[in-house]
Amino acid sequence: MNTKSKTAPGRRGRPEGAPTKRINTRFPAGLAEKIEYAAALRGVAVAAFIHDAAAERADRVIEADSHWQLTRDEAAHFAALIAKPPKPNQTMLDAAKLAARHVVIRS
Amino acid sequence: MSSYALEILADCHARAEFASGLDSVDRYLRETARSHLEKGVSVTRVLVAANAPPPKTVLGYFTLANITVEAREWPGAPKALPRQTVSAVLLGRLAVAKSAHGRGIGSMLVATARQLARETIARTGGVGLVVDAANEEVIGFYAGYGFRRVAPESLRMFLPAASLETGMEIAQG
Repeated sequence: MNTKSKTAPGRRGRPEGAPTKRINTRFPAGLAEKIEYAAALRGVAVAAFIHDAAAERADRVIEADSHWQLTRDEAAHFAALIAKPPKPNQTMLDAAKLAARHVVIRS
Repeated sequence: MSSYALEILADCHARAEFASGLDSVDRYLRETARSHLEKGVSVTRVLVAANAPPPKTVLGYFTLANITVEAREWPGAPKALPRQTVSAVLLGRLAVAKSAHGRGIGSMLVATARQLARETIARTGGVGLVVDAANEEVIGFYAGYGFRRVAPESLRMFLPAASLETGMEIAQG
């Protein structure tokens, strides 16, 4: 693990540093037991388990917002659309007309 | 005289009152959009009445960002498509206030987002406009404007750059 940066929210994994910030949340009893059981299976503290799981999920969400990894099938569809771009349909042309008539882009 | 103005989200916009009916997009506008704007993560623009005094009621909004699209290979790709990561514009969120339904706000937001995406691509490159639909119902909304799914189950849709070309220009000022 890279140890240079400590708190950049975008960096992967669990950022280092002392646990100073509290995020309040309550767990249903069943979920709490499940988490405790899973943490025990891994042999780690419950807090560490929750931190790692949340960091992993956060990474996936952040990445999905800025990066799209296509499967082979998706890439084929994607490439086909670029090769043969659909013409704007009437709904889109009407929307552009409506916006051109009523909207000014100020910034 | 235009009836509506599209503005970059600022303090003069009453974002706390915005209610589209979908909690995740309302909360994004209320709690996250300004911070993403300041950090350069994405740009949120809001549609308001052209003559609205501050605090301006937000009739609808959308968020644009950059996204990279990657594939190990592009089966059947045209020769022009680089065999590497390509960039696109992402329309991450678009929402209309419940109180403003039935006025064509959604259509106008889609059209202005499309024009801004076209201009971004013309300036800095990009293969097209990607949209993230919040759910299946929203997929139907975007499909109506010609956006295509690239996978049957995916909530992500796409329109290539060339499909953004035609249509009336929206004035800037």
